Amino acid sequence: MSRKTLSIISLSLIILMMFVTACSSNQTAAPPQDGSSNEQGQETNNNDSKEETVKRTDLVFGIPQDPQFLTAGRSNGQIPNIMQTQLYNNLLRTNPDGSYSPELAKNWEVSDDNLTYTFYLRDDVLFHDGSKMTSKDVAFSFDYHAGKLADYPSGTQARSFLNFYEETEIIDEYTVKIHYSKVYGPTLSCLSDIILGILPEDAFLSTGQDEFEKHPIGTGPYKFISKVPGETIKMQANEDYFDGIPSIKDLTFSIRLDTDAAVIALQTGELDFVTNIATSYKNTIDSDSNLKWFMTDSPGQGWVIFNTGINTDKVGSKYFSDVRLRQAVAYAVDKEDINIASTDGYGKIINSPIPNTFAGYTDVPDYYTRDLNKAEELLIDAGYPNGFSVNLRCITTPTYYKPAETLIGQLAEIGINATLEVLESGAYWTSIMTNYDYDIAIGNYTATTPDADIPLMQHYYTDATLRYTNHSIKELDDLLDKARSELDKSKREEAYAKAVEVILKDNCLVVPLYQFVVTGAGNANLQNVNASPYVDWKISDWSW
Amino acid sequence: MYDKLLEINNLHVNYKTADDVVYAVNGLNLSVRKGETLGLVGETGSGKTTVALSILKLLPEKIGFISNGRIWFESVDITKTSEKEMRRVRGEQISMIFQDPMTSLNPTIRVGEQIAENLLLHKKDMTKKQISDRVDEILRLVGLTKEKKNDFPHQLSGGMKQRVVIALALACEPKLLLADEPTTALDVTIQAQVLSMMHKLKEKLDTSMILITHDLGVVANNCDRVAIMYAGQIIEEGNIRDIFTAKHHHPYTLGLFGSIPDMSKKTRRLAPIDGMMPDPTNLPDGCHFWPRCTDRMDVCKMCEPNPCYKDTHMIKCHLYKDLYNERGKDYIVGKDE
Amino acid sequence: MVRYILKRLIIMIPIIVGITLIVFAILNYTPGDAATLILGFDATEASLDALRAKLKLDDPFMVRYVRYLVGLLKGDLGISWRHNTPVAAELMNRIPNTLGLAAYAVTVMLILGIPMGIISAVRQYSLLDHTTLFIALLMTSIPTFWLALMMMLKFSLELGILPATMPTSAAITWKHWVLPTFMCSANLTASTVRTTRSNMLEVIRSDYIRTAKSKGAGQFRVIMYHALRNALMPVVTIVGINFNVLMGGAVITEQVFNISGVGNLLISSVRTKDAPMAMGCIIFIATVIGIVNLLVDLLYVFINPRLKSMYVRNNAAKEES
Repeated sequence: MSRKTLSIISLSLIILMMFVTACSSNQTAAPPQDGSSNEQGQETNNNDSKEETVKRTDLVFGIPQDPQFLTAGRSNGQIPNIMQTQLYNNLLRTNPDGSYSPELAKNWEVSDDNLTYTFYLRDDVLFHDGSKMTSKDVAFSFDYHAGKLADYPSGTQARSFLNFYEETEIIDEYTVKIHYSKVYGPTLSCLSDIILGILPEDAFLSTGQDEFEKHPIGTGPYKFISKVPGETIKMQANEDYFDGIPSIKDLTFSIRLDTDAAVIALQTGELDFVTNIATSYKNTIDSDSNLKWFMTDSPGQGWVIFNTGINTDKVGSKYFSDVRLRQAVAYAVDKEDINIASTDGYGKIINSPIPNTFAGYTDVPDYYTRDLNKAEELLIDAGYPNGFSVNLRCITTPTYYKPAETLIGQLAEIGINATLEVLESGAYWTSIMTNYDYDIAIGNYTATTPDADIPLMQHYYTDATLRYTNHSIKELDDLLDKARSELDKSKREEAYAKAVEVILKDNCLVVPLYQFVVTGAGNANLQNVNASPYVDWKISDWSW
Repeated sequence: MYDKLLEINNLHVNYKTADDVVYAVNGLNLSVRKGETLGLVGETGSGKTTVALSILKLLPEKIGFISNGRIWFESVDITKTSEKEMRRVRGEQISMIFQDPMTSLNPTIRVGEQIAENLLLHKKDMTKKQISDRVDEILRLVGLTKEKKNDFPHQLSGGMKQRVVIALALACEPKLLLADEPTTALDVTIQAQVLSMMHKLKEKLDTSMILITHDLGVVANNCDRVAIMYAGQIIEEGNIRDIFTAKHHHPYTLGLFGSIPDMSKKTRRLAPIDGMMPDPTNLPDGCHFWPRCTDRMDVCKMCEPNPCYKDTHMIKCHLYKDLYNERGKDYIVGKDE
Repeated sequence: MVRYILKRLIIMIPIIVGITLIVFAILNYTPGDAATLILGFDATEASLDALRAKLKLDDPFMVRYVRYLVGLLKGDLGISWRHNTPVAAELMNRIPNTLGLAAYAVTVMLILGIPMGIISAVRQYSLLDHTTLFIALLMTSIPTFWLALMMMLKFSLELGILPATMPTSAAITWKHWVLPTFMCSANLTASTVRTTRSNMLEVIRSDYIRTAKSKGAGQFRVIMYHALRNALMPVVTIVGINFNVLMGGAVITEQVFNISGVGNLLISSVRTKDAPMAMGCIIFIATVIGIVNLLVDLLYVFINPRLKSMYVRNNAAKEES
């Protein structure tokens, strides 16, 4: 009997050890074979000996989800942004310092009344199908995005970046005038948003939207080759690219639903780059000398949001219709802890719902520095000296449930007994945007146009599309209207600072928590890789 | 005199389980002569089947062990024979008919094949045709049509199955047949048929047989000699006359007879033996039967009785020490010639 | 026999229809508006309405369901909402990989599980038996995805002998299938080992095995000729019963190893509420499970003479007469 037991114990120990060594191996193991593996196919295998002289020209890029549409403007989000960055160009682009550089437009003029923008286009730009990019393509693209075409009345998601857009007047083959009905401060910023790519009129109209989607055409550094839904998207370098021919020729996007497996594939060299990896993998990547970690601040923000019901026909939360209870929560929140829980501390604590890199941003004080006594006083004042119980809603994504889990503990300190309610994303959005049947939730948003107008208009204007907090405040609407049509920088900033004061100090509609980070990890041999706040990895700049 | 075909001397068999040692056979002496049918009688648990399995060396692996004793089959000591040699003995020299025909046949193999397997294993020189003919012949001998060979066991009735089991055992015309309660699982009418058929076959093939049973009626009709077993020992042995007509018997034998309704006498009720078989993991000292014995004496509790002989009749009991010739334990029946 | 098969196939139809109804209802009644999910949350009401009209989402549930069924009967699985491609075409691209994975896994299960089970039973309580049982227990209790990651770390990263995931551009070689196959079959193989072992133990203690031994048959013959067939009968049923487990395992395995299979497609379709695609995947999986169960039952009939004689007696009688 005892010998049997002994043999079982020793066996289990052996097997356990096997797994332990397997686990620790990512730190100690030998580097994967020269960064190339059988995945790169016969070619590279044959060239293994000549590795030093023959540079690789292919790249396998891991993305965590399938971008739904590849046509410019049709999908908005970080992963679609990556695709559109490779396939399309804008008229101009925003530099990190907020200035603008030419892209498809050589230069531009703004009329005195700020309602007309004249763009002088490059005459050497070809679409992937070989046709020339001219004024009519620009006019078509803006009309299409804005929903001005009879066949596509709903436009694309880029529509919200064309506020007050009237029409595009074709002056000559390479000159266009874009007319606006009202003065709109962030116009140039919006026109440079990745989502406003220029599409080929002829190719698009000859096949129609659905067929075009199956073989999208742009002017960008990469041509679309093929797509297997849910698996791969293949692109090839555009040898006629006007802004220099990319060094990476064969580009494959591989959709990896399982992050752990994707990181292993990165380590074995089966993937060359993976974007949007949780910060918890940073140590694994850093400890592997063949890999490099890329990270930069994102304009994306996480907030606590309340169902306020201020001046709306949908009834707000039983508790959080009362500003005192919203403020009590704000006083109870420890942003530092939440930031550590959600981003391992790599994110930044924020006090404003405007990302700090955006035009219109000014520093605002933390109106609710953590103070549990004040929180409890407010609870007593509101008639809940013993606290109350609510459900805290979030989505299954870590950027939602991680802050939520931490928040629950903090609320418990002031007697609010919050229960985590993790919903499937569809249910969550219906709850916080349509039905307004929640009390308190975690909200996330990433704006891609660096102007305060975009996030504030989308969340806080009456009838805004993403008005999570169920409110209608006239004063706020006026301020936002004023700010978006104001061109003077300091006056705009002043108006936005006032708007933030209304949102936070007066009404406490949300509690801004922290700002995300943009992450990526890739082969250390890749050159010129730079993380961008909008996750628009410019693969055309990369090389081996 | 008959030649002795099988001779068992002082056989001890133990079953080792996780917690206990079961003493199943404890110094058993037994012999079978050529052409003779020996009835081995005893209650359930007395070790009858163990004796048969010991002869075939088919005791449960890693559990059952022959701890002492010799089993002579012809001039070979089976206890010392290798497994490979034993395989040649089994089926060809010694065959066994198992107790339950329902479970003794492989449910997934046609009965013909199961019978033929015996020939296939032992008669290497037989052709397919010969084997097939032989199977038909044996089936006919046991009273089945040859078409039955294509049936699966579940297609046969209980009696037919037992006939197949018998056919299987007799396929190679073995010298010794071990029949372990061959008719217990059968209806009474079928029992008689099967027994008389076995008897005829045995006569015809000149096979010796050990008929294991607890049914004294079966013994009376079929056996030449009878051995009565209790707690792994033979406590009385003799030819059919000795057992059924002699005056003296072991108290246990008397008890066994008392358990059979006797229509010739007017008794109110049967006289079963009181008590249970002793726990085989913890046998009583002295005579193993004393706790149940109505004639027990002080000596019974202390020393094990020696076998006492009178001609062909043997009784292992202190009661007959004086009436019968007592012989020491070391007296070996088969070795005095 | 033919009648029996036909009957079974006909019974499958209501089962699959029932499954489609349940899945259709689940996809329909879970929160989240399909049009919004497809177009995004800042889509205009107009575009949402247009899409709803196009997909006929405003029709009553039963109308849409019956319309779907009618299409299904015509062999039309519909158009994917998300990818705008025919569901059948997408499925066809992925079925070979999923069926391949299942076939490899079942093969490994059979050629590894059954012999290990037999050896374990024959050498009961030996070190080999204990080792086998311990590993089998481990494999049944460890979650598949975790084991998959550990295997990747060990064999792909540390030892570098097997690729971790499926290639994106190069051809798939046998090496790519090793880890997924192992993962997919680990659980099944383990349960096969355990079932084979316990059945074998039961069988080798049975009377007819003793009979076989009493005939002078050797160990090998006793095991292979007499015991195996009887011991395997329940194992065959296990394969049938566990095939859905295998298909479930394939879903996880495909995701972890990035295999272009139906399971992967199902996960992404459910996530994106792509109802026609999800329905197509589920109908495929249900059909495969149904057919496999039928095959297993038929196999069972053929290896179990008792059942066989029930179904084949008529034919046999005809042959003989």
